[in-house]
Amino acid sequence: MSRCDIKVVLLGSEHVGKTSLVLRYVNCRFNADIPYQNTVGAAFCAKTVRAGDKDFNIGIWDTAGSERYEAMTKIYYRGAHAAIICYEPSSVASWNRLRHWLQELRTVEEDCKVYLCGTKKDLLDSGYVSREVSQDIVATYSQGLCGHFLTSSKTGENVDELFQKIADDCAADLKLMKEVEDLRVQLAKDEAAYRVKNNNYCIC
Amino acid sequence: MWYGPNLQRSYKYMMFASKMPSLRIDKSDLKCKNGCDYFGNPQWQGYCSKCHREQMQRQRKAEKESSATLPKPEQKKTDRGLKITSHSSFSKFEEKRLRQSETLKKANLLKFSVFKKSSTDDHDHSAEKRLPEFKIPAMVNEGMKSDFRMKFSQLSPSMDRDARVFVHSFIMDVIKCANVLTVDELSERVQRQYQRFMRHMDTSSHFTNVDSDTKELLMDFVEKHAMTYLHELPSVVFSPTGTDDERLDRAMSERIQQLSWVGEKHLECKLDRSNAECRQLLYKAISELLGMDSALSPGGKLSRVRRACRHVLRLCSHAAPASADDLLPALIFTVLKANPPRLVSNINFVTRFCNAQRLMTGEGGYYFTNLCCAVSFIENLTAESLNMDKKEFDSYMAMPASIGGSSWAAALSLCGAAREAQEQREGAAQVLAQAQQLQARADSLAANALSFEEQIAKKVQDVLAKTPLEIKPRRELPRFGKFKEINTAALIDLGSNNDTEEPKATAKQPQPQATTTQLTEPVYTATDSVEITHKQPDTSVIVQPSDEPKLNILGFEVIERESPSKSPQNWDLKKTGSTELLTPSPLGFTPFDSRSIDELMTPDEFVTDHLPPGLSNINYDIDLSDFSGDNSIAEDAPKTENKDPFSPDGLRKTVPFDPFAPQTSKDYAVLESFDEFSFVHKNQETDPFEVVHRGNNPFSPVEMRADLENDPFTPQKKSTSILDDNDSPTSACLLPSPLLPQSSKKST
Repeated sequence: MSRCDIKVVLLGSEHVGKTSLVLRYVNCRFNADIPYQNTVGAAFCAKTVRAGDKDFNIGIWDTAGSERYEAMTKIYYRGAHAAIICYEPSSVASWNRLRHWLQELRTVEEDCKVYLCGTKKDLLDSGYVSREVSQDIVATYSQGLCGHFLTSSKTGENVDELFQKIADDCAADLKLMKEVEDLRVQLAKDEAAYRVKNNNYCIC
Repeated sequence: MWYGPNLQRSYKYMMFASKMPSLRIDKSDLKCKNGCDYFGNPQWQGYCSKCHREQMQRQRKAEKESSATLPKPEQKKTDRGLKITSHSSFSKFEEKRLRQSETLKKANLLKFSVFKKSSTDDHDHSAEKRLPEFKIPAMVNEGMKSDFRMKFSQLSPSMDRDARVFVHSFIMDVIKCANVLTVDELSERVQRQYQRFMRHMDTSSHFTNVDSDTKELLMDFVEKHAMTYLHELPSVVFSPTGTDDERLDRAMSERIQQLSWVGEKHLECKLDRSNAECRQLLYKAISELLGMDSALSPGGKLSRVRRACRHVLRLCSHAAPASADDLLPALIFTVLKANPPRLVSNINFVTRFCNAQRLMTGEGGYYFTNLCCAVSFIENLTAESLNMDKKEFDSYMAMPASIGGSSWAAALSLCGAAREAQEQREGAAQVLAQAQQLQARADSLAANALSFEEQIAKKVQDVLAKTPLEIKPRRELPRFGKFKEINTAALIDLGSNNDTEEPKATAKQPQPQATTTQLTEPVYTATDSVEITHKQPDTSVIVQPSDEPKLNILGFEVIERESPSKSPQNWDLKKTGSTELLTPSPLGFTPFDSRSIDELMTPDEFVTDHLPPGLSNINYDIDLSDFSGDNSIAEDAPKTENKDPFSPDGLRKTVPFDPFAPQTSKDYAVLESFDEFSFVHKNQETDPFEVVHRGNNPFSPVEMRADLENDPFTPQKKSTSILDDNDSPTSACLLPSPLLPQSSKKST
């Protein structure tokens, strides 16, 4: 099924590790479950996640990070339930572009949940690179956002947690929406029944 | 999902802010977005009606201005002829294709205008006027029906009906609104229709057992059929009137042609042009993109795009799985090389009228979004976006075509032709397959017919073999006729008659045995004698016509002369006597009865004479024994046996059979069997009330008495007996006494 319950857009400048993140998430645990991912590529990935007592199909939309396509990324946001903005803690440039997306998302897609994701944690931990983006700034920016994660696609650290959190949040949201929808459907049903009943009684 | 439909559906609008509906609504949300004090409406993007109109106008203006950056078609048209000559073969092909599509559209328009020529107004108004008589061709309905049956065979027909009803109302609604609303309004309306159907599936009782996957498939199904039909109507949903789609199509096509020099290195996509496999994939992707135009439903177009993008992805992923960073440039390159016809129209069509839920999520949506990105990128392509010097870019743009005319271009132009050829080939193959199928079916039909014929022939043969046509005539029946002939033909045929009769006589013997249990033994002996003697009555018959009474008389006469000659009749009659006991009441048998009684007389006469009617049965034995006393003892024993079971049986049987159904089948059968021997009986049966017969039998009264004795409960018989009684005294006195002892003696 190519249909998805949750649409997650992956943003971030080039070479920040978006694709690796997706690949890590999709392929690490349920390799066998998604056979076509390996052949077709990682641009679009779908994965079934269990959130609460229900299964959700998460569709992850990878976007091109190159700056020349920056103007087009807006098209990708449309109708997204969640967006993950990736940055590299060791690169200030990536962080600067993150701010741009953040701004844009706030104006274009208000309902979209935004998650920050610092990638390549393993490099940071091993001391291979030094942290350039201060944690204070990250903390201030992540206020009002749905979450901030430091992940490592290499080790898989925090990757599942990130997506699980997204799934849970969206599931809660969807559940609420669903309830509202159900209520509406119920109302519609009642109305229809009422109309039928009325028709029965009133022929005039 | 549960997003409202209030989204701009042009991919261009996606650039601008479009607000998703949120769960929390406060008062300010209800107000017009413009800040005027009127309330806004989600149908109008949150504006009040007035502001919305203004906004729309402004937007359209802005859109025109933005597309003004593209080369103006009017401007181009002047130097088009010049360009065609200078273009590479590929661009020529594209030109041709474009023109084809244009002429196609014009033809459609013509058709459409012919179709609605009843109204002579200008386009918009005429469309409105023609509505009342507009009808959706039944083909749509039929197509849906068969398709539904094929795809959702497990679903109930009520759903099928629902879907068809929905599609019908949907199409009508869209056509009705097409000329009244703007495209975006129409798009909203369509989206609301989709939602309505979705809600219908949620609420309707028909769909309670359907899972969500099937519902989505149903949704697709509905969308496909509705849109496939609408797509064919020109200027309704596909590049509708009031939009610039057609102009934009042309502009885009020109633009792509202009950019044909853009190579993979400009876009920084990793393509290996020397790799044959890689090129193959590119061709495939291009042909899919080109095929997008020929798909009619948004879903179909979307799936084409998806397939094209998959090819592109495979194209990119040499070592590592391709990501969006690889996909987008490669896709842009593919679009540039493919130059799909009516690209903008197609994209707009999908964005406007595809089910939004699918477009926003899912793989197809993702690839379509990528395509939108690519188109948008191409539209806004500048020197910076290609990372090249502005001057160089301008110079390329100034003298296009030839620069890109490398082996790539040639190959790609071939690709387009190849694709068309392949389409043709596929079509031909399909037709061929169909023809073959048809042929095969015809063959099988012919074979079936042949085998059927053979089977029938064989069956007929079998039946004929089993039951040869030469049906043995029931000899008894014809014999009656024969007898007459025989009568005339005299003795020659008698032998044969005997031959035929003998087995029958023997065959019939068991029957009397069955009915009258012990009667047979004396009868046997009697029949033996009868068969020998039978000729004699026949001969006697020959002399006489078949009239029964005469026969009787004759028989009696014969009997008087010879006891054995009478014995056959006796035998017959005895049996009949027994049957008469079974069926005493009916008038129809009375003549028969009388006959039988004649025979019965032999033992009974005395009895009947002496005894009162009801007691006859019991007395039989005694009487017979008395008679036997006269004759040999050995003979008596069988006789007593005969009569003992005989009379009670008769009584038993008479009681149930009596009431008012005189002619029971059993009796008839028995009678008929007897008829075989004496044809005269038949005649009698046919005319049961013949008085002549009784009159002929002067002895019958006595017999009738016997009858009376046998069935005392039947009034009819009494009456007959009474009639007979008149005759009885004389007959009783005269006949039986001499006859019967003799016959019995003789039979022994």
